[in-house]
Amino acid sequence: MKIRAKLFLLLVPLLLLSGLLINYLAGRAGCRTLHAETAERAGTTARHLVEMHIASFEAPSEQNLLPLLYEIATDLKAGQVGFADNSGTILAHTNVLRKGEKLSQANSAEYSPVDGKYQIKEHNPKGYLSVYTAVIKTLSDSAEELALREPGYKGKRLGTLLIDLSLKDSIAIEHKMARNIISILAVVYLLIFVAAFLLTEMALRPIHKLISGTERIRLGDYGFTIPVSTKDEFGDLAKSFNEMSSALSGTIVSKNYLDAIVDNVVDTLIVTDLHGIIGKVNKSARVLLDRGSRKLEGQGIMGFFPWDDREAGGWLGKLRKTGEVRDYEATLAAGPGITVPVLISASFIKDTEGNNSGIVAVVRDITLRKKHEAELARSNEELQRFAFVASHDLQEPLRTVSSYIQLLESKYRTVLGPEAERNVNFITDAVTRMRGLVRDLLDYSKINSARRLEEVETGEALDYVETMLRDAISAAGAVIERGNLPVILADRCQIERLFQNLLSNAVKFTNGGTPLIHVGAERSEGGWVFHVRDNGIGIEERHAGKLFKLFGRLHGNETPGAGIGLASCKKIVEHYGGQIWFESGPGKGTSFFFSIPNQTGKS
Amino acid sequence: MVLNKAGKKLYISAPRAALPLLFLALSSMPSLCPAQEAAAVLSRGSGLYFHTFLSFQKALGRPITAFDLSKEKPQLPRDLKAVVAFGSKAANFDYPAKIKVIYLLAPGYTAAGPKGTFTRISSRPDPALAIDAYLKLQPGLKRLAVFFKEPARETYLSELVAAAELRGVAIVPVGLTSAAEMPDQLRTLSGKADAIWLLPDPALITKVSLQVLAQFSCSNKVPYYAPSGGLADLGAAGAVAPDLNEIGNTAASALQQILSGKTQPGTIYLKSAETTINPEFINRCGLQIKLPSGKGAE
Repeated sequence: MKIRAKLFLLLVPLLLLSGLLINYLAGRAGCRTLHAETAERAGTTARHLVEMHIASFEAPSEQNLLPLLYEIATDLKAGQVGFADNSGTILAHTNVLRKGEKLSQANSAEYSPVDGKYQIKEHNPKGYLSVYTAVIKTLSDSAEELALREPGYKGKRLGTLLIDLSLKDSIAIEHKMARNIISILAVVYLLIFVAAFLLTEMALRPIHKLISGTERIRLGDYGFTIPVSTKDEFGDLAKSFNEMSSALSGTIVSKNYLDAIVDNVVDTLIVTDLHGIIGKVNKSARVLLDRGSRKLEGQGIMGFFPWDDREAGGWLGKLRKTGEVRDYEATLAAGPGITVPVLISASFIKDTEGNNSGIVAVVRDITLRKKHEAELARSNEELQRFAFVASHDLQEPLRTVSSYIQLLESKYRTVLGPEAERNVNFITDAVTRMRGLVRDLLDYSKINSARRLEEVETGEALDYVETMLRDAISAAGAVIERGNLPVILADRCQIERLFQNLLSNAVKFTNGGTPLIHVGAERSEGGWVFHVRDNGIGIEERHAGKLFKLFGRLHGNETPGAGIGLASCKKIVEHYGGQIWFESGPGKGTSFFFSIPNQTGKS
Repeated sequence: MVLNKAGKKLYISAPRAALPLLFLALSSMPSLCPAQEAAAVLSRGSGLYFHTFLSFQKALGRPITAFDLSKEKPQLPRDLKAVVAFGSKAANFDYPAKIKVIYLLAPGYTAAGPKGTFTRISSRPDPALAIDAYLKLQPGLKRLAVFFKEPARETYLSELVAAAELRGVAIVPVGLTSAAEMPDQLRTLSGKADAIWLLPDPALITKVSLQVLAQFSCSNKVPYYAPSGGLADLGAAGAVAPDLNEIGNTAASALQQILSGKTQPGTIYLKSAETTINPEFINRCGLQIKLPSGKGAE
């Protein structure tokens, strides 16, 4: 119900009730005043007449009093007039039948002339207003006595005058008064209604503006403001409303705006409840998850991932366990017979109290990436095969060249002379380096993901490497210490090669003193971190970029090596999912670290 | 102080209905005096004369022969030495020359005779007491207009002027030969008086003159003080007048002095005066009168 209707519903009974009350009370008060006034006027007039004829009342007799009573009745338009003595006995009355009647309390204060006492007999046009007036001889006999009169002197009471006045005129006046009161009330109430209508209109105007503003905000127009035209409470309310809308426009984007952004996100966006029931999806999701005419909202999201790890609860289970999922790889059943590789990132939506209220998942289609990865793998494999074949096939001609050069040297050394001998040596050295290079290349190309995993005691592997490098170690006078070396699941040859490359570098790049080398390992989260630490010449920071690249040599030809060792180490470590790095500085020695994560199975 | 219309009457009022019977009983009693040295003559054997007579006799302490002049001509004993006359009619009776006359309740009357023959118990308050009483009611009173009957045959007015001067009040005398002159005199008085006092002179007291004074007082906010407390009730700010009982007592005292051979002054003023105020009149007319606390006074 509208406020105005409520107001009028409240006003109508109140006004009606007050009208009845006012009419009753005003009528009653007016009636009493009228009667009192009539009685007072009658009493005053009668007392005046009595005063002029006081002698008749001092020696009262019916014969003397009757003419006077008739005169009083005529003057007052009274129905009846009578006189009773102080004992209350009526001595004379215009209705002669009433002579001798006894008035009760005729001598009491009830009939005092000062108070204008009266009685109503039948309040109707045929009724009477009976006025009782004391007849008192007030003035003294002489002016001398008057001049000396004591305070409180009231004169001598001679009796009581009874005057019955018709109520006809009085009641006519009462009716007229009642009509006037009703007319006035009607006009006043009409004015009240009009004023109430106008006031409510005026009061509701700002409320209507507020309602309109609220509707605009509901529709997303958060910056909408309403004009502040008054300085009253409504003005304050409008000001508060405008501040609120201003704050809203600064902090909240509209639903349409948000929907437009969400719908135009390339990735698939899915919002579900905590049970994985889809509540909202964007356009990309509708395209990706197109299942004909079936509505996506209301379906369980895990129904789209039938191959996900059911036992662990899939990505949803991981989300519940960890609170967040990042780049979780899964296969999406996009339709009958259609699978799509995807990466899922998901997190919980929090409500205002910080509790989980839903899940938002971003599903990225990685079909293209998978295709590129496959092509790259195939390309790498072909390249590796080429390198293997090339290095393998180059071995034989080089060996032949080397053999014939050596044959020529031994057979024609004396004939060709010293010049030719030096040239032959050049050739022999070049061929030897080439063979080493080809061999290293061959070894490098042999490093691939095809590993023969076994439990390798890395200490034993180090023993084997030290044996292999015995001559070089002895020549350099190197001292090798070892720390904790664990047993790991790995390809023994690859581990030995790792140690071999790093150890030979440590022996090779010395600073002229005795090489001190320490080999050890420490457990890390999910695997082991090995180190090979020396006190050699160290590596400048600027060489860090090319250190692990193929053919990344830091020294001239006087230092043996093709720059393949550390590249091979990097390749081996990466096949295990680990990393290799170093810490060094010029003259401070070098520490190489490589991590070997725990391997879960054989490959 | 006596207040009227407030329900608190402090004066003594005799049961008036029983007074005439009592008077008859007293007057018919044989005299208890060994010799008829004194008698009382009342202008009328009822009303305030009789009421005062009772006070007089009570103060005298013995019965005294009383005569009601309104009913009979008194037959005064031959050896009578003094008469106490109640009212001007009684005072004006033709008494034998050897009789000393004490007269009271005769405000407009001044007896003429050899010195020491007549002693008046004044119905007017002592001038000093009157001025003090008016100053108490009107602390700012500076000019008091006094209405009296011309010609003034007594010294009251000069005594009043002297007492007023001592108290910083100027008396504005307004002599009237009749009550009919009242309106003219009031017109000339406008703005020249702070209060009006009508002396108790029957020649100036009529129903109309009282109404004229009351209306003038109300309209011009000039307090009007009536000659008696009873007239203050009828319409005046108040009155300062001797108490009738005290007048009777003073007359008894004067009689005893005369009978013992002592001479009395021509006029005796009472040692006290009774102040009556009419709060209803004061409030209705908005007069600047200091009323007793609890009377809605200013």
